[in-house]
Amino acid sequence: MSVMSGTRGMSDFTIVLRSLQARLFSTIVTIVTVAIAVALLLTLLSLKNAGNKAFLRGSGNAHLLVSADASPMDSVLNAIFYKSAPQRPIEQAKFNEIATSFPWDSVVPMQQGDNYRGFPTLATEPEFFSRFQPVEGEPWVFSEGEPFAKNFEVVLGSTVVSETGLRLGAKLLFTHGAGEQGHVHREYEFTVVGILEPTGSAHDRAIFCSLESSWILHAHDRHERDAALAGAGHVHRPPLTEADLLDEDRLITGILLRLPTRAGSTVSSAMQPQFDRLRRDPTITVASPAHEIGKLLTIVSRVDVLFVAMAIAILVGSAVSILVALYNSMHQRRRQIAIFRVLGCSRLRVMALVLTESALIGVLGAALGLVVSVVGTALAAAYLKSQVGLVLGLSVDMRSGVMVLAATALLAAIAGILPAILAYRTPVGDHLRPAA
Amino acid sequence: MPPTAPSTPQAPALEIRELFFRYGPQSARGLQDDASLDQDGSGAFALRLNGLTLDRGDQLLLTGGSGTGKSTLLQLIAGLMEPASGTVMIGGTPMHALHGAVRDRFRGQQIGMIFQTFQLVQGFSAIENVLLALLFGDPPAARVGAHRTRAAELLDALAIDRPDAMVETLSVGQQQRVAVARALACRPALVLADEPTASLDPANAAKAVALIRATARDQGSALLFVSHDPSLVTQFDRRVDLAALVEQESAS
Repeated sequence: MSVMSGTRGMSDFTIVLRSLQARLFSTIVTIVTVAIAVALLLTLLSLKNAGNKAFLRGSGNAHLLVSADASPMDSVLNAIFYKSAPQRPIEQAKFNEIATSFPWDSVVPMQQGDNYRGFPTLATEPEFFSRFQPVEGEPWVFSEGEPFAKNFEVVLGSTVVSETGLRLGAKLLFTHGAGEQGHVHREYEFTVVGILEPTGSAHDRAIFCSLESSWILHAHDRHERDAALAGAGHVHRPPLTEADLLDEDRLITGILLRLPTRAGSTVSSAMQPQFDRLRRDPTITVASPAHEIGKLLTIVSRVDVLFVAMAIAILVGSAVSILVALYNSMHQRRRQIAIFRVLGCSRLRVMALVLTESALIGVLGAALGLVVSVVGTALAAAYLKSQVGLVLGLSVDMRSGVMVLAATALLAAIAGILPAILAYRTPVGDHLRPAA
Repeated sequence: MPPTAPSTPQAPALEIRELFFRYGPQSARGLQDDASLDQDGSGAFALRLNGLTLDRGDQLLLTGGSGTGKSTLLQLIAGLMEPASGTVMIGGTPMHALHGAVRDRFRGQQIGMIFQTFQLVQGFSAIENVLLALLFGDPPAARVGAHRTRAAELLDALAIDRPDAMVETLSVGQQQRVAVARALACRPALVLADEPTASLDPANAAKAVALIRATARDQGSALLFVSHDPSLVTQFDRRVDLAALVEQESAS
């Protein structure tokens, strides 16, 4: 750049750069102020997006979720986000009734309720891996192993693996209930047969097994309770098998339903009628996961708005700091402006020089802020993925980056208006006399 | 931007007719603090000048004590202040008929100014100070190469051996020569020198005057040299005392 070499031509831009150079400390402080504001704004925007995406992930390609929970929101929080173990089951007969009531594209029953060291279990059919997609259009990928084929085989979500260190072939015991303090199902040992790639959804924290395995665990508990009531004391029976299961053992807590869709479409025109039909059944709760998550996002977005408003306030504050820096410099620059005028520079050109300088501070600050936020969010995303197993789409969207850049330049130029007017109105004669 | 009025080659470099300037306590913008011009303590001041002509290449010493309005006259000539009436023609173009950016550019092109304190732009090198004059006074900037050549040649002629040195690192004598080079960069019709030797000792003042005169002559510019230093009188063939030229009156 010509500024440093001093061997190229002179331009208005050179003058602007020289002016910034002449007040290097003030320039750097002001640029850093703008950069912090921009980085903050972009990071908050990307967090907002990541948060929204994280919420949207997980409901996957299921159109409807049927449960016996108290409300649709509860059922989505429990089944999709593993908030807590559903309290009320759906019986086998009801499941069959729903499954055959419509030509569903897929019907995936689920049973939740146990955990391994705090990681929730999800008992389901193998179709959970073949038909259900945790994220629409992104099917499950096994990093190791394969879906469970037999009872007492488990598949682990990626977070479970990264936090427990369990590998293929490892053995584990389930604990009853959602907490770690519950009753341990000692009699039945599970073997890890598959490990999933991260999906960025809450399913990454889950452990998957067959419905029958889970039913056997709970049938065993029922047998022990019955024996205790009969006064037989604590007796260890031989392990139960599928043959010992009664209909009352075959309980599920949720059904993921997908309606047939046209090729290339993810929605179904039958969705609303089926939703309304199922809702008339008082024994079940029917939820549209997408709709419930939309409601969640509405709540979250109010917080987002607050964050973004704060970041914008900081951005405006940084514009004010540009104003103050330039305004304070105007006194020292009056003589220079007077000289420029004598040399043939017009008032408007003097004004343009100040506005350009102001906008340039904004652009440099915004560019620095953009770099900081891009690098920062990339590092944060990498850290979250490696340490917490959380896949956040934490990246600065380039379109919002460019928009923030332009907005900052504009804001900075606006901040330059007052100093520019001072420059415009600088009287020439006064500032050329020798200091008395 | 409308083209700058060209100066007619035959016309005098400077021609002042019936110039009248005044400011009162109310209208004075930015001049209030100049107590030396406050003739009667009311803040009012007036300057009347019937005529003054400088032909191409002419050199004139304008003397006068402080507070007689020398600086005001120079600013009127340079179009930095507005006369109440009368005309100031620079190379045949009426300065005060031009407005805004056109007048500013015309000034940059046709008038070079040298000041007592040089008024070099700090933070810019010697050659950049000259280039600034060319940037503002001799557009378009497409002539970057030509500007560079012109500035380098001028500084070389004025014995500035470190054209890329920041002006604040130069000696006083060198700074003065840079100021002279900057004033003459656009080959102006007229150079206005406002007490350029006031802060120099007599020997150096004489040298500076000789330098300014020679350079103006070389570049074909007329020179209006303003000073209250009587020792310079002998150096100019043509000289005039402002007191003889103007009618100064209190605007009471």
